[in-house]
Amino acid sequence: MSELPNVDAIRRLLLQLLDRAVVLNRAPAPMKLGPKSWVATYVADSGTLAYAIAVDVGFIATVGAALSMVPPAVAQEGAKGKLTETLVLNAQEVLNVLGLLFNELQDGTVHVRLERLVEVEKDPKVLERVPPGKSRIDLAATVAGYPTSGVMTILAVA
Amino acid sequence: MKILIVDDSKAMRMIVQRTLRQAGITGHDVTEASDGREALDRLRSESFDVVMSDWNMPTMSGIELLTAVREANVDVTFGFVTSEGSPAMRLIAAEAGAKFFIAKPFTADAFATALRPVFGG
Repeated sequence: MSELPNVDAIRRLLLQLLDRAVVLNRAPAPMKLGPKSWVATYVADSGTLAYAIAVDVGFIATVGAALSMVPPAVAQEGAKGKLTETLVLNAQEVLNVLGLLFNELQDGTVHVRLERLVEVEKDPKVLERVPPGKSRIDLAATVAGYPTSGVMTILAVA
Repeated sequence: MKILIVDDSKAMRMIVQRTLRQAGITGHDVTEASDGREALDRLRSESFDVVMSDWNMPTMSGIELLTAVREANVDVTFGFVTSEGSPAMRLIAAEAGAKFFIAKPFTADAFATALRPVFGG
């Protein structure tokens, strides 16, 4: 499961889901995970960790707001660290749907689903479960109508 | 008709309602439940015509809900609105009695096409 979804597929999915233009570019540098990072883990039906997506607070704020048209000002406050429960739950749903791309890569041989989304500060051990990975892609994301932006790192773990 | 939307994401429940309107499926009585257990409790106490359910939810998944609904002989048209879009999952859903299957992310056109047999039009 070392294959990663391509950037266009991710962009298309986000555009459809958020119903807004999404710009995704390769991040200029690999994302450094810290206490304020968030990690979404994806497991196979066997329970084996297959993929992870690490995101920063800006990503949570931006896509979390865009999903249900939360005002941009709330996203801006979220990106500063004042994340509301709605922003986090919405971002979790976006990351849940992104799991679809992992399943498309498996061609029906392995089924993967979102296990959980957790802030590293709340569960530092999540970093032990997410090694550098076989392959990774670092992306910077912006969503039309929102002044905030975020970064995401997709890791193939298994 | 009475529609029960089941999804653990409040935002997604709202988006499903909005997409129903965009698909021209309006004038119905819509109720929400945040997981399979809550939905089953509602279905046991109240009559619905259509259930639109997510698949992966805490407490009780969509497929567990569908199985429980059939075991309880609840007469309702049941379908999925889910990120589980693989052919294998569609087959499991159909064999369990699901009448429609809409993959996230969806469009109003996808809703209109999948739900035409249910709502007519």
